[in-house]
Amino acid sequence: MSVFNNNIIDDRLMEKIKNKDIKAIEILFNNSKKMIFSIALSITKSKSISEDITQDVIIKIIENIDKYQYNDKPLSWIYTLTKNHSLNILKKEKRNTDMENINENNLLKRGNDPIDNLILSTALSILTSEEREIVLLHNSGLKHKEIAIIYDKPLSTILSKYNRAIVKMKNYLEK
Amino acid sequence: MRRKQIEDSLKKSIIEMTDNINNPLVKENKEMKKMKMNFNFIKATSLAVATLVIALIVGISYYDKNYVEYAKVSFDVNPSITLSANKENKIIKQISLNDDGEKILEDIDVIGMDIEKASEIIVDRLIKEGYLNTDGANILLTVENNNLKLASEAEEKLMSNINEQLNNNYIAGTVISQIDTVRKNIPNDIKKIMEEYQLSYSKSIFINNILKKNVELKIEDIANLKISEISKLINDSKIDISDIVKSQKEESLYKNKELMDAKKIKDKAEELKNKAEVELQKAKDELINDINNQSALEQAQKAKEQAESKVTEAIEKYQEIEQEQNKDTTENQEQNQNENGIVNKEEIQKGIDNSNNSDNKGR
Repeated sequence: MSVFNNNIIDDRLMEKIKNKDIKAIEILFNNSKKMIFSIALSITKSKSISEDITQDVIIKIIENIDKYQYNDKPLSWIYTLTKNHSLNILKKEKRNTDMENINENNLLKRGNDPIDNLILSTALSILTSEEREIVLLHNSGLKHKEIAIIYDKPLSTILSKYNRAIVKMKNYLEK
Repeated sequence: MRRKQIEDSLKKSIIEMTDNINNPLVKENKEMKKMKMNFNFIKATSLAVATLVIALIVGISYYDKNYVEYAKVSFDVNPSITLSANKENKIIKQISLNDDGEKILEDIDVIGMDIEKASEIIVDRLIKEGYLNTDGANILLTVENNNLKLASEAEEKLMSNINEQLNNNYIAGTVISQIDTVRKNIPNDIKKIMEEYQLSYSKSIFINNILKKNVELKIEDIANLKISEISKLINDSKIDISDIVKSQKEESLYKNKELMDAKKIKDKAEELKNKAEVELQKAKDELINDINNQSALEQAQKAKEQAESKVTEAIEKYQEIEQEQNKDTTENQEQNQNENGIVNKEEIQKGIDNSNNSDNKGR
């Protein structure tokens, strides 16, 4: 089941948000928080910071909604806002993104499957920033085609990068 | 580890991590309203401020373009008049600097007019009121503009226009002009002349410059002179003022009124002569025309008579032929009748007569 439905986030929804439709804002939040969180996590590698960034970005979207130009690419716009904000926060926090410093316990709650923790940490540590983004975005619910639109790259490129990333992870985890 | 396992794990992790992220805009009603209000207030205030700033900028630009003094043009004869112009070269202020100036501007309103048009009106009034009815009736034209290039261009144009006006009206005068920047702070030496002698700024700088040229002249000698009188002084003293004022090269700085009057009469006489010549030529042409017409008339008459004669001739001939033809026709008919046994009336009568004669003989 898809956790994300981009048919909902379109120019019509953005128009409603421009008109301060609270329900529309709610729909936007529910349908984009995973995407926003995934981008933030791939950059900051911190769950708590990514949570804050997710909320910040929702507010940023509302505040800057008048700057959105109707082009049927709201996801690209949201992606850009999220990435920029995440990078700014990262700069501020001056986090060390070195592999050794990633604390698995920072990512998932205690009591969760440790395998899940491992897989997630692996994704954040061994993949390149672009691979991380693509892998997390896809697993947050975006289709490869949607990711291709956001990155403005051919679908084949995105598919290739995703597959390479998964193989990388698989190889690492099987060692 | 399988690919699907990795993917499912990642999906599960993301759901779990984002489950507890709340919508930052969904709070208690009160707070939400406050946030919305604040948001709206901030936006409204920003908009209002932006609008005000824009209005201010537009307003300032409009004001600057239309109401701020950018240039001045002064006319000194004896009346002293100053016109202030905006960036568009339109007059925004007209000031008289003495009683005579006030007299000129009494029933003139050049506000809103182009500088050149306003200048034409002022000079026209100066002429009509008789202020330029003397020898050396020069106009001191002063153009003030912080852009000296524009000042020079305006000076050139106005000089040319005013000189043409003066020449057309046979004024024994010319334009002498000077340019300056629009001063906010008047130099002390000029200020002193202005205040002490109640002179315009333009006249004061003119006089001050002349004094610098001729150390023997004193301020009290020339301060109260009209421009025409100052012109005479300059002319008589042979002071070279070409470096302080501009005038048209071929124009004398002190023209004689009598000469101008004589020139006016001469020009008028020449004009009349030319007019008379034109009339004469016209009359000549008409006469020639008449003569030509007379001759043509006669010829036409002659031709007409000839034609009439021909017509008469032709009619007569026609009638003659007709008659002849008619006669022939009658003879033929009679002949035909005899041949066909048709008794002719004459023949009948002849027959009757013969018969009667025979009867009478028989008795």
